[in-house]
Amino acid sequence: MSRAHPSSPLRESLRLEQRGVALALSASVAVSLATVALSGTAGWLIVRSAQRPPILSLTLLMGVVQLLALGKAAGRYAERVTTHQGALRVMTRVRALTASRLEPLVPAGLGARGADVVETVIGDVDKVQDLLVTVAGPLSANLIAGLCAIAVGGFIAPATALVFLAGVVMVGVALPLGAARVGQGPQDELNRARELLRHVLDDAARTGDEYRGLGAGHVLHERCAQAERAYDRAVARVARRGALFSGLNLLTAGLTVMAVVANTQRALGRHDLSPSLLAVPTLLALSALELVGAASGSLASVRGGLSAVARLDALTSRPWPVHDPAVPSRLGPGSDIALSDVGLSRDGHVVLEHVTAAWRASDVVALSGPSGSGKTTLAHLLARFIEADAGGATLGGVDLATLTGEQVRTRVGYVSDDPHVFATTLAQNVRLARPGASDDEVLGALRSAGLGPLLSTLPDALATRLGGATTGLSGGERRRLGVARALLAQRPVMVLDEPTEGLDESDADALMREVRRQQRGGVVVVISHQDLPSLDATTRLRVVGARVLGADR
Amino acid sequence: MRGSLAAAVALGVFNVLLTIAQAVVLANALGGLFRDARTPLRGDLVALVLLAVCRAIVALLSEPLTSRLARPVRHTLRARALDATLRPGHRDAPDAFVQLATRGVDAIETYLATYVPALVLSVGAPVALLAWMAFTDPWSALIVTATIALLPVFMILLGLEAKERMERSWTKQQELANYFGDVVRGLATLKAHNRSVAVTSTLGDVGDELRLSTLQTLRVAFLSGFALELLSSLATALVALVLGIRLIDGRMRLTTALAVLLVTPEVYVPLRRAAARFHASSDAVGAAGAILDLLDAAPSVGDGEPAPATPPRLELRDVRVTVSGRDHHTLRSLSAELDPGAIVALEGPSGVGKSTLLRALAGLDPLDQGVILVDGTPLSDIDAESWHATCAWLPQDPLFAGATVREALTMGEAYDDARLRAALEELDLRLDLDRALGEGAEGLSAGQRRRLALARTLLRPATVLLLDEPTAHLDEANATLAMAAVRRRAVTTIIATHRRLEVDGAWQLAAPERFGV
Repeated sequence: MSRAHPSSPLRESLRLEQRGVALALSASVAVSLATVALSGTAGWLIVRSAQRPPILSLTLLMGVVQLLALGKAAGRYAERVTTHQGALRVMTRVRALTASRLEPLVPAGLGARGADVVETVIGDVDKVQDLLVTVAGPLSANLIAGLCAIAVGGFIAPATALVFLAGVVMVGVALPLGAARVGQGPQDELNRARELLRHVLDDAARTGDEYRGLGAGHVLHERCAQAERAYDRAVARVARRGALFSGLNLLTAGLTVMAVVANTQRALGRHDLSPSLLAVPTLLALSALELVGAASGSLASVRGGLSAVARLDALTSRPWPVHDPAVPSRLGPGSDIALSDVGLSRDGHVVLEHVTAAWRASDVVALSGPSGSGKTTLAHLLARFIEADAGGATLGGVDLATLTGEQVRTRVGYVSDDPHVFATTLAQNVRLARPGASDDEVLGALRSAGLGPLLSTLPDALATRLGGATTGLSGGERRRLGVARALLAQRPVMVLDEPTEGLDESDADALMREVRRQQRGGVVVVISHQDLPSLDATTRLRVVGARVLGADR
Repeated sequence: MRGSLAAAVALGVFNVLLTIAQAVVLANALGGLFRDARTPLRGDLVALVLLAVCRAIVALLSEPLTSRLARPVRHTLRARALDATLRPGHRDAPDAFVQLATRGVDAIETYLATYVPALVLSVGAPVALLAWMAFTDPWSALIVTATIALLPVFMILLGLEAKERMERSWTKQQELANYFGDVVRGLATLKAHNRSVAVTSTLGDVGDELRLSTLQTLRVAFLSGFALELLSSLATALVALVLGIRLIDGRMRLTTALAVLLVTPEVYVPLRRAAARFHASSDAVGAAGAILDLLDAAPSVGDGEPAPATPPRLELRDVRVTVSGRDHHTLRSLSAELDPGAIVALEGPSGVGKSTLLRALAGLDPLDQGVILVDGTPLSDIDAESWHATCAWLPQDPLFAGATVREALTMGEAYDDARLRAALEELDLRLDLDRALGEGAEGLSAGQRRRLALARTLLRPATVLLLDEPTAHLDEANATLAMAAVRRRAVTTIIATHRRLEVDGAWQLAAPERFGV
């Protein structure tokens, strides 16, 4: 677990679910083959009958035709069930793997726009699902069936094999690839238009209040209409290109069939082809080309899916912000923290340098400083979300670098400035900090964090469902929820990132007093741009330009 | 849309005729070869080329036609969905709304543009093909008619249940996507509590659970497809068999038999296409339901009176608000008045409903109880758009639109750079207009963010200012500057604040006793 995974989540998922994938693919191939075979044998039966042999000699052939008919129908059903099952299985894996690949990166390893990265990941996973279900499966199955049909047709009448092959290659490979290439521009344009539309709607949904509250609501309507017009143009272009290629597709298929008929005549003339089989190459060609042509239409949409796959893969190659040791040390007896000459750079920027500090039990540290000065990074360092490049940091006398993140976080509780509210009950939202906690303990933590009044107004108290964007929680309440979680977790060290933002002074003071009371005997580190007199800090530090300066009084 | 629909169907019917023609020509050529391998085929081969060209042209025409078919419906639905989400009191999760307004609306368009023509053709095309067959070979026509006659029974029985299940499956798919999104967005929070590994590992189980229930739905949904496939392939086999027997007897010509054999599967193609589209369009049915709910749920806003053009006199009568997500009024009823151009401070403990009252005043949420009078006219009688254009609201936790400081200030409206710079300067905020900014303006300090939001608000040509904590996170000097800027506007102003500000008056908001802060 000490280095990034090299493999792609999709490839990994396909490998893990290879049985399901293989099953789905073989069902698809089988049903495509049955379709082509039914058409070919039916033609054989008809022409053979026209030679007026004794009827008994045809019973086997008649039986085969009926069997293929049944098999084709049953196979189609099995195919649809197995492909969907396979795709859902793979997608479950992709989701789980993607989340587990993100896990080591959050919150410090995704760069400044971590939230955007996360949103892109969520969208990309949906695109991968489309790629699997609508494109990859049908295309490969029908191409395989097409090639089998060529083999059989070529065996029966070698003279037809070449045109047949040319036709299938044109319809199944060359034209779709050409279409994908020429259609790339319009498809990109469509994707951009769709993205723009999505962006405008998302903007409207998230910041609609700001637009309306500032009298700029009309801007959203105009933007939406504008995006819609761009979308219309892109759709029309894609449709025109698509039409061109389906036209060429049908033309090629028609010409191929024509050529197969002409070659059938030649083969008959040279006695290469038994007269009873004379309809077979034509019928095989007709049904094989139809199958291949139907599936290849979706090739144009492969690109969007592939770039989503590539973006998900790129996630895995991001460097981890912290590496757990292979053989971790044991945690020390206490939870004193010592930083000596700690330095940390990210992407060529110095984030922290020459940071030296020592905090013991019962210390209350107030850490202030302007944005971008490295306060949050310092907090991440304490919670081992990130590790220092230089200097040493110890917890309870043990070097942080020799401990795993999980070990460190059993001692260090961290409350971010943006705690997530999960789409579940209030109780679950708090209890995630300590899964075994009783309702009373959860209630206690909520009250200590100052959420008692909120609790009394919620319709279902602890069982009230929160989450989504309409949590019904204000910014201040979200932070209190974060504090409640940390209080429930009862870590000896508590690091709070901007816990009082969104609270008024008296509320902020009350919250800080309560945190101090609850955390008596432990270490409290509070990051804030505000002066918090009620915190009664034992140490006040200022972080300026990556350095921690001394007392700020 | 009706004209394009008719054209689409006409092209479809023409395509059917081409199919029959191709079958006849092929049968003629192969039948000729059967009689004598040296039969000249030139005429047939030329006909095949012409038919291929015709089919290509039909394809060339029909795809652009389909893409335009339901465009007006898409435009209307999307615009109305946007309207609905911008209406007062609307509170839907943004992600769900965006999903609905993009994928949902697209699904409905696809449904109309592809399923409806396919449905019409699924009746018209088989009838045309069967008519030809009945004319050419009544026996085969009878077999095919018999299998088709069985179809509706199957389809109705199976389709009804599938439809209901599909509707549920649509919401279920959303559930899975939502759960994944929730976990991934909350990963950092989970990690802080050493729960991220445990929770991500549950994704597999949740996915498996949802997969099993989705598959149950699909197993039933696919049964109708199975019935169709079974009947069509059995009919082909049966037709081949019956043709064969009559060929052996010498009661039929090979040319006829081959033509019939080639046409038989084509009868089922339009049906299969309609069925496939039906499954694809079950998405649309689910989405349509959700969109109708959205359009219904938003209270309709009639055209009201225009808002006053000069700073109005505001009067609150017995006003109460409910803080979102709570079931109690948190505010004791408030009655107060405010003269035109006067500034009043809204004071009270946090959580009492100051922000909610400001939202109601801004026309963003409906009022629970009481009346707000604007120059004597109830706010609810005033046209919402016009009222929004009249007031400028500063939210407590402002979000910024656009990617730069400039865009955050203009919000897409036309303001020249000089005005924007002046607005920043007035608050002593030194920011480059081209500076990149995220939605929450993460790169700025809390104080800068506050002043940027205030600059954005003061930029608007408003006659009512509704300011939620305009001086929070500001030091004394900056707070003084901000208040001076507000005062300079000389418009009717309400400020929710914790700070003691020099204003014309104060409204004390108090919580009901049992609320006990």
